[in-house]
Amino acid sequence: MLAAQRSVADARVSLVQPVSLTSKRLSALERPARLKITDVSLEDALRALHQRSGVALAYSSSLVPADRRVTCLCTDVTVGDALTLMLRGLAVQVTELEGDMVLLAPETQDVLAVSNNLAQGRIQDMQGTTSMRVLSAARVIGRVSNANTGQPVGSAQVTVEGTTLGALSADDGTYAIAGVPEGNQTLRVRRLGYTSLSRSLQVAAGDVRADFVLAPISVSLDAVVVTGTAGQARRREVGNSIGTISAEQLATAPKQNVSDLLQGQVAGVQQFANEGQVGSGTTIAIRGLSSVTQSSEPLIYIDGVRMNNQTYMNNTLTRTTAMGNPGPAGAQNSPKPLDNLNPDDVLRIEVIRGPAATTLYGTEAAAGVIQIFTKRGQLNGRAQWNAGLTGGVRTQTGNSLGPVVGKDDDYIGLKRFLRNGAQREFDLAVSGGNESVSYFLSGNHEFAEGTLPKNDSRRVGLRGNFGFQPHKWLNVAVNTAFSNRASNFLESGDNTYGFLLNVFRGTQDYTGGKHDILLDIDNAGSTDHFVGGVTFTGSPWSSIATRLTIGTDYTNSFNEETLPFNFALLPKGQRNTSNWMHRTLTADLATTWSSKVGSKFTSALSVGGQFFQDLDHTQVGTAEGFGGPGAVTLSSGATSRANEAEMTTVNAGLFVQELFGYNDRLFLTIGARADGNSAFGSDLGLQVYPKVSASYVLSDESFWPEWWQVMKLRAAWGEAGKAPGAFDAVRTWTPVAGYEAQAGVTPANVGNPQLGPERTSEIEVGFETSALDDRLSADVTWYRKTTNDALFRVTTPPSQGFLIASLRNVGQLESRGVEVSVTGVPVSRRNVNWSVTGRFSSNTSEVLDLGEAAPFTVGFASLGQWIRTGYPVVSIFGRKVTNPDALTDPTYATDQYLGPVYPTHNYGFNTSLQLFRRLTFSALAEGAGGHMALNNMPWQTARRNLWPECLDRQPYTEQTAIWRARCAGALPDRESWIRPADYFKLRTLTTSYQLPSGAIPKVSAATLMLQVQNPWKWQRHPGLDPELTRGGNFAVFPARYEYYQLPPSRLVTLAARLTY
Amino acid sequence: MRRYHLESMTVAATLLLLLSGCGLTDVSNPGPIQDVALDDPAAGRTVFIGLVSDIEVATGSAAYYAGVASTDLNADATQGWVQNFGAGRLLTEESSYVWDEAQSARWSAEFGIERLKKTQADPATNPWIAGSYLWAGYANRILGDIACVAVFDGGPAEPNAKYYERALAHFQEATTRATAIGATMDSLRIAAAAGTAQAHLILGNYAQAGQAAAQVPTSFRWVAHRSGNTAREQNRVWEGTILSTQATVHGTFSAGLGESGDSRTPWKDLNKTGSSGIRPYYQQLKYADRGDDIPLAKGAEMRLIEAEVALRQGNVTSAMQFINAVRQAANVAPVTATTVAQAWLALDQERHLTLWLEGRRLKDNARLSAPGLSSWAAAFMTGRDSCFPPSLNEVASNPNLGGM
Repeated sequence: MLAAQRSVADARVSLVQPVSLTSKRLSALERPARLKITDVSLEDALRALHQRSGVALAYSSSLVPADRRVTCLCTDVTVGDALTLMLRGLAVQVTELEGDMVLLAPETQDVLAVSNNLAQGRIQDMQGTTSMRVLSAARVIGRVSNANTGQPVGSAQVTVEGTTLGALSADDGTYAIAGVPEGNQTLRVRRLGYTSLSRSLQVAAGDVRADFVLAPISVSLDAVVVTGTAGQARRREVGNSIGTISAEQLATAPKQNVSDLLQGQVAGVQQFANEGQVGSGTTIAIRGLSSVTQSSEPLIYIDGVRMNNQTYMNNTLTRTTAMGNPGPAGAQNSPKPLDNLNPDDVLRIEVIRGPAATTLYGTEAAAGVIQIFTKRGQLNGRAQWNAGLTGGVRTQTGNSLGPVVGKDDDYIGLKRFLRNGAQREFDLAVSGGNESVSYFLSGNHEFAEGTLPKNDSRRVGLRGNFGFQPHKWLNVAVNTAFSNRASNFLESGDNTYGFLLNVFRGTQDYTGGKHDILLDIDNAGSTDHFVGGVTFTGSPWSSIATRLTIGTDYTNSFNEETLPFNFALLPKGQRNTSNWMHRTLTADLATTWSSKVGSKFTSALSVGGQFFQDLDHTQVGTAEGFGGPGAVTLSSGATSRANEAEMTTVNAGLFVQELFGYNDRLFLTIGARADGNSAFGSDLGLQVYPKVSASYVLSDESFWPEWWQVMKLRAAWGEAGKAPGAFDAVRTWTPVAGYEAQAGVTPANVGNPQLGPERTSEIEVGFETSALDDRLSADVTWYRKTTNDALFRVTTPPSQGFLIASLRNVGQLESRGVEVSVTGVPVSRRNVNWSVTGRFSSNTSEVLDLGEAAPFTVGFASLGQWIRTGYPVVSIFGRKVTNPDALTDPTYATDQYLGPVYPTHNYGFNTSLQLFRRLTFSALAEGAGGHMALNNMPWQTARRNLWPECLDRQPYTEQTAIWRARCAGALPDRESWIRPADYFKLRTLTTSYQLPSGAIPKVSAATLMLQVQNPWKWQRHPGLDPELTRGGNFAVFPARYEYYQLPPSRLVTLAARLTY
Repeated sequence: MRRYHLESMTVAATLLLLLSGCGLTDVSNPGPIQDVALDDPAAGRTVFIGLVSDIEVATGSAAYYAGVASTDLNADATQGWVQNFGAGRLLTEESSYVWDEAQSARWSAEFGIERLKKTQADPATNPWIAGSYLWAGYANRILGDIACVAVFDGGPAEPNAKYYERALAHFQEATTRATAIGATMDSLRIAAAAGTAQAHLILGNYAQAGQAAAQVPTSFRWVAHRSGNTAREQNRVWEGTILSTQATVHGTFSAGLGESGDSRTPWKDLNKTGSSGIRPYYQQLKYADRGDDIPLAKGAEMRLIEAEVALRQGNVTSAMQFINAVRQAANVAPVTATTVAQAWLALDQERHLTLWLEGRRLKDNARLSAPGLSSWAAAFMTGRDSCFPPSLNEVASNPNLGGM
């Protein structure tokens, strides 16, 4: 019972027993007193100390002389020191008891006996005659719920104002704050996406209940966001747009993988699927392309740790240009590391769209940043279990196969191979904490079966997030996640053994119409993925916030492809394997000093530095010529080959930023970052990226009408970079094998000591607004970003030896557009709530300057996808039929601009209808247009007289010129198959029902959800799906090329989620 | 408060130092070899093997693409450029596979010679340098056989003959050095003589061509080695005709002889069409394996050079004797010709059979189609391009070409 003891005797304070803390949490005596009193009675002083510090006090009445008056300017001292000061001269021993209680007793008294009495509720001293006075701390408990739906609101921050006490609500909305001082207290609740709420409460001993009902809002200027500095910034302070996907949005989003969570939720974010086989990935682009030679995918951070999300080698194996090309391509998809994470672990996502906002992230951040935050437990939170069970079925429908294949009776031969694929998921999580440690533990298992034979994917994920508070001003968060993903694929895409390629060609294929033999090929990949880090957040003084994150992202992937012995197309058999390891180390330190200048001006000065190291190590092997049937390894082949590659890059930088505030409504931010990178040329020094932004909360002005609640204007300009590859600056030779396998070299990269990063500068202006009690809100942004020093591959004359075009900072690209997101709540009644959000974004790009580079094609030349001055990034050029509608043979004009490859506009909406606070219907839809696509698969099928659009138009002599061009002759005109690629897709339809409380014993919340993914689509493009593009190591980025990839299938799932 | 910022900066600097101390800021990238490393004398063999390897790769590309563009093969390709080559359309934008590899190989050899001369201890008798000259000679001969114009090291366009003149200089240097080294270099010396004969023939120096050819025994072969060891070492003709089915023997002179018509042009009817579905697929079997070597010079060709020299002197009888000597060595029946025209046709067809799929026939088709020579070549070349123009990359990046 006794925790610590100190004695106050004869006006002298002495410690009779060393204070020994039983836990890392602050002891009662070490807590801040937060007290400033002058000349008050000792009784009042003790009461004030209790109220301000939250520490319970028990003392004999006889110890408090009625006439003793004390002064204690104790704002920056501990409770123990404050008591020492107040009790000076009295023969009192001070003893800390468990339960945050401090006992003041005469020095002669048996403290242990008194404490036992107190524990048993006997408020007496040893003699049983003198009454004890107890100023006990209470516990505030309650539940946070959604005003519209009545559903629980998790992760709401509930704090006791004027104290350090607080808690986060659990997923069932409940919270508990222990040790709250008695008396009148003010509780404040804050939650992203909801109005903040404050409430006064009379706190007495024992449990006091305080429930909060929060109204959801679209524009919350006091919500905090992550900006790269040490502290979190309030949205009102930020001069650029930040897309946020809240827990509520995530609740009804498809959750087969993390990429799904981003779909259609943030204006300006596009995703391109590579392949509809389960286990495949997507490519993410924000505000169009910012580079044509480097990745245009955003940086990904998981709880502050940078995660590699570049396509990794999975089932593309050795069949790449870089590593040799011993055979045709494999699965040609691009599984993404991001999708190894368990989507149920994600708490919220922030999308920082462009350089105007990503300056502090420096080199590599030109394409945007996505911050993913995972769930956490809460200190002093009871254990809360969440369990989810999902079952479903995946089908390939006529609609999903596009308007031509899908209308053919047997899907041009594919139908007999299609099947219904099962979908099963189970996840279990527990979160909570005691006074010193919080925890969130989760496990997840997913099994997904594709609609084609031999395609399935299994994912097992484990997460452990822990929080500690080793010191009163220091918090430590440890986040770890491990996953294993194992997938099997059919051969796909532009590939001799590609399944769809052969099936759609009928008997005019590589198998002679014996398509089943392709099922003999095994194509499998297994990936272990770990993301972990530790973040120290310290505030040694209230004005200083410091954050240090150290973490690693580690992926190890093993892939194998086996063409068995006696395989019909390669009887001697072949096996290809690859082992790929990637590791990113992150060290990120930032400090922010906040201060107030006068009554209206504020300042937040931030400094920091980051270090990142990326290591890739790849080993690939291939073997041929197996002696007989059975399981094989590389050693089973009569011949075998191997390759190995390793690459390390380091990026490090420092930043400084100053945020000025005026009257909490006008903010100006200026900052800069300086970066070094191992990939820069030897003659290039540090690269400096500046930024400036401003925001003005106009609605805080007195003249602003009350019905128009929020209006924030903002403008930002900033720069960020994109580094070249590790070897691009150096003149290198590639090792090759020569006669009798002797080592030789061949010219590789001509090198460029001046090589630096692409610098993308961006200006954006916009506003966030909300009116009519948040029934109508909007977020509007206009931006223009210019990539200077764009890295283009500039060829040197082949007669000078080096064939690989070397990177030079010669180009200039521009893209501009608007992003509009409007949310309306047409109906908001107790039992009916209907909300609609519409999103629109445009992106118009242009190549401003090619520098020394000649116009060049991307992907491969025959795609006709070009980078040319004055045209969009990327544009299709080719032959064009000049008399398309004439009933005659076609005439052509060559080298014509046919259109952009990427959509010029995207739009979408999501809507939610809630009935009786329990039943919710929601829908998410997206569309895009303005771009063109080469329909290579339809052309290949047409030239074999199998394409329904052509078969239906025979004889061609009765057709228009365009259709004669597309269909007639042994070799129809391929470029006439470049057609508009506009589409509109209903992404998800969701119905969820929250069971009444108590419907299931011991379960505090239960939800049933029926969801249909990809229920319907419309497309102008005759192929399988206009979003598909060849991926993996066979990606033709930034070109796009649909070629025999399976489209995404329809998935119907029923899920149950329980909280207890 | 300034103190705290200094502390933070100190912590940041300390962190960086710690990271440096752990070696985390070091970047050591194995794999690609930096240019300066090849100046080490011990890297001489690597430089030599590398330049030879580049020329062997270029030989494979020339054999395949020039084969499709000549009388050797017919295209049945899904690859547009191969289809165009088969139709005799040799376009700048589609020539990179041929021009770029051959040019890089030539540069690699000639740059390698200069590097080896600087780094090797006894350059005059260094066998790698002698060998490099020989291979540089063949690199130029390959370019001469396929390219329309001569371009060296980013310079201006010059007549095609410059390649052969440069080849002759290299072959002469190789011969001189091989002779100085001694008997161990006899094969290299004969290969240089064979190359010299080839170059003189094209340049119209028939007497010198005959003299050089006479030094080469009929059984002699100098080859570009191919191997299944890596993809780069694979025989490119094998890739295009066996690994995939882009080019067929169907419709060629050899196809007319039947599957067992001539052992030098073996093929097999697969009873299906090629990749594009246009023609029956007759699969070449001269390179049945991915590791089959591609000849650069053969004694049989030397006899045919001697035959051509005789024919250009009007000596039909002598020419036919040389031709039938080649046929006898190949175990095929002799042919007869009584007129000059018949003899030219016989010579053309014999060169087709002898040099089949070796990258030589595009040049042959062009030069033998001249009036008064081969009627077959003249008919074939009608409406067709006879050589590959500079590639798009060369045109776009070489300012001396003036955007030709």
